[in-house]
Amino acid sequence: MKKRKMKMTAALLAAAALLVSGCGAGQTKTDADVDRQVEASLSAYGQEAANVPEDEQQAANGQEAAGQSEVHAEAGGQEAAQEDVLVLAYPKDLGDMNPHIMASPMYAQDWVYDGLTALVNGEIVPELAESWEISGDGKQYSFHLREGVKFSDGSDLTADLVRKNIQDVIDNKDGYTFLQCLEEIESMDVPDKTTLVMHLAHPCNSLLSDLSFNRPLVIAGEAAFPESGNIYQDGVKKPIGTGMWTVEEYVQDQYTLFARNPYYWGEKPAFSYVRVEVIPEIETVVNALKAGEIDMYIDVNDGLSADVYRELEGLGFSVDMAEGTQVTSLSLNTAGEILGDVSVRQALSWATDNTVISEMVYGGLQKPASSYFADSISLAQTGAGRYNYQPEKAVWLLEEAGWKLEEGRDYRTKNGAELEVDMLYDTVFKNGKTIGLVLQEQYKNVGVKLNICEEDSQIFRKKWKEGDFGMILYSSWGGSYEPFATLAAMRTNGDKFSTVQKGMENKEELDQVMNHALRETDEEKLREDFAYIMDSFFEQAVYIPLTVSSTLAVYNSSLEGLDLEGGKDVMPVGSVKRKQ
Amino acid sequence: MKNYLQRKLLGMLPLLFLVSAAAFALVRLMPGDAATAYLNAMNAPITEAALHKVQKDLGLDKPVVVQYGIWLKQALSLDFGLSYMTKRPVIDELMLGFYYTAVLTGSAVVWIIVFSLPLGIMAGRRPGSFMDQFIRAMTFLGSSIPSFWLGFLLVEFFSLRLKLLPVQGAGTLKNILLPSITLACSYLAMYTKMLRGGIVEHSGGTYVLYARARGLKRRTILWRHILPNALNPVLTSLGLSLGSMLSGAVIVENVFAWPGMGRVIVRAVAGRDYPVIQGYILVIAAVYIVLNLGVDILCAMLNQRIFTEEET
Repeated sequence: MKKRKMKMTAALLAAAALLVSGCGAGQTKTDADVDRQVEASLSAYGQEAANVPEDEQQAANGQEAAGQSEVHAEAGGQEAAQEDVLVLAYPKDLGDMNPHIMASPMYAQDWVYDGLTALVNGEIVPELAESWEISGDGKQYSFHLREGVKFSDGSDLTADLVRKNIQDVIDNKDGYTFLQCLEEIESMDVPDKTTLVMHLAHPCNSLLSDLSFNRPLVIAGEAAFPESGNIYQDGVKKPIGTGMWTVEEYVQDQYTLFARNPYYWGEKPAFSYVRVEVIPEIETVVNALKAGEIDMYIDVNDGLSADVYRELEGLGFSVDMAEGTQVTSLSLNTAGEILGDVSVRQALSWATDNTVISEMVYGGLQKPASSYFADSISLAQTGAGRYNYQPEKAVWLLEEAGWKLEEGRDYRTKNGAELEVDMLYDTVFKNGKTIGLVLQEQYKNVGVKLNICEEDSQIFRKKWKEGDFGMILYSSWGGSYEPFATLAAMRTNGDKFSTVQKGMENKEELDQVMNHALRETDEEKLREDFAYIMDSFFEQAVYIPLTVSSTLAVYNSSLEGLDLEGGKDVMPVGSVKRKQ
Repeated sequence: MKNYLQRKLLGMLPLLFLVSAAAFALVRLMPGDAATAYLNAMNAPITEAALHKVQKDLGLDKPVVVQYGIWLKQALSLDFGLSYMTKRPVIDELMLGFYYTAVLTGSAVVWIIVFSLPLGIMAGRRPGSFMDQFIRAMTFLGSSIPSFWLGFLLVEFFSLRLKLLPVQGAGTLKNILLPSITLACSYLAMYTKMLRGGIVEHSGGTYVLYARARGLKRRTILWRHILPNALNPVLTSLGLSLGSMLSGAVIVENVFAWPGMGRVIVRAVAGRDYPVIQGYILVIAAVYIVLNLGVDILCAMLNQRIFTEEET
């Protein structure tokens, strides 16, 4: 018996040893593999181990450069430099960091690249352009670049390079029909090293806001361009920008280590490094926060529920919240079989109580929206009417439209057909199902059947574009895109934003007004255009606004300085520092 | 033995060919098309002209049979083409995740062997005993717990309460423990039950009776006669499970932010990245077939009659 037990124990020990050695071998390989990946990733980016010669760094930044290289030596090992590394989480991988396409996460493009202008608190402010002049006819913009700005590889920012970047996007403008400025820029001159003059075919209201987007009109260094000179099509050679951070180390699907750009022209961030872990599941992010594996999570993807947000606050984490500019709304198919009838659209608008969605779905963290555009978009505040929750009006309109509720039935019918509407949403829209369930109940009260249809992104976009839907649940672009880029998309025939409006009685005239608004420089006339646009949306009940987005942040209480509202970045960590 | 191996290896070829054809066809039956997905990823407007250009650039304008021929020819030299989305070689995209998934699956298999073997033997030797009842109860529990829930439970206990192991990531040795245990749990329960059943079944066999009559010790009968026979179906089944563990580790990978194949394939499916999806199916199928071949050989080595029967 004893012998048998000993054998069993020996067998278990041997197997455990096998496990450990297997893991150990795996680990050795893991590290080696990670090194290979880092190497591969960096070589894919064309990055050297240290992309700035140390003497140049010291010349540029004195002590700081020395400190940075010291941290750099340990950053991979992330041991002694822990204090100087801010660790965040983001659900997606960094991607290729192409500045002229919209595939990489916005936060990263924000951190690495700058544009000529930036949007801060709803105001366009100078970024790489220190100032600009606009000619009287609105057809010539002269931008004066900041003096002495350098890219993260130490090269100089020049007006020539700015022109080269903008030209790359113009050459591929078919990809950006919502950027009106790309249509209007006829030519660009570079009278001197720091001046860029744009000549436009027509005045362009959106030019300054188009230039403030974190992509595609941002400026990459010469080293970023492939041999063809076409970053858009052939990819970026190195992610070299003038932004606060530079990509130091990248391991696909695992993490990105951003280092402070030693040549950054603005206020230097407190941390030398920011490490962004790729964590797709929000539950894992929360656990990693609790375990202290990450310092901070800034929720820009609607992933954090109100319950979890408040639970973490209760556990002693610091929290912060800022109202965003994206509006979640329902876009009704004006050319649809049932919703083509404006009475039905108006009835659904009266039957929607968005305060319930604000409370039940978002726990009050997202406030009810009043129009397709956020309240911060002043041009869209025209005093147009609003549909407040009045289900009795909805019932009256439906009755008038011939949709009768027969006794014993839940839903109205007309000519034998049931009144049912498909609500389509993208599978990546996290609260789609919950919002659908709330709406399903509200619409049932007035006799309308709502079918909740979740589709993967490809099918969702296809159906939207082809008009194969009843209503679309979607969040507007927000930020610099509002209002002009959205108008540009809405007036472009064939664009999915235009498909929604296809059945509007005045679609042709509306398109003309939107086109006019994109070029009108007289503010009074511009406001008249917007009044017409917003009135049309209201009268024809095209959109049902639900909630206004909010950016949430949860972080270790040892940190301070986060300013979600004052920065231009989606994830503004530059001002974050450890408490003394 | 040589003939046996030759036959098995030759049998793999038509199987791989069929898998490649099925992978190619199935990917094209998915709703949505690659050209549209490509334009969406580039944020380009989906016009007829743009679609036509992308289809031409990606070679999607050729007849499907020609596309298949070109792909198959390249695949034979392990060149699965370039990813539509990242423009990187598909093989690089796949190997990146495959390595981590293989480490995760391999570690899970070690857990399965370490625990199911002794537990199965302990339960099977004395059916009906307290130990047997206890182990059976645990196996029922183990096979009923959903893996994502078990993962979060383990994290809650070992990472948040005891602070012994990390919540996520793949950087250190500690990182592998919780994901591999999570992945192994339901399989471990299944194989313990299977091995117990095999031992109980074979213990009543006539050859065991004769062995006892020959005066062999109970331990010798168990290790030399009962166990090799009871292990045969377990090993065969483990071979099949390895394939599904490789492809089904995606949930565990998500829970622990483990950078395996799951992320690669989810991203590829969302973006209709045909070359990556096809390459993934083919690689998984090849691994599946090779593993099964390995298990067949192992079974044959444990039971020489298989060779003899195959030869005759």
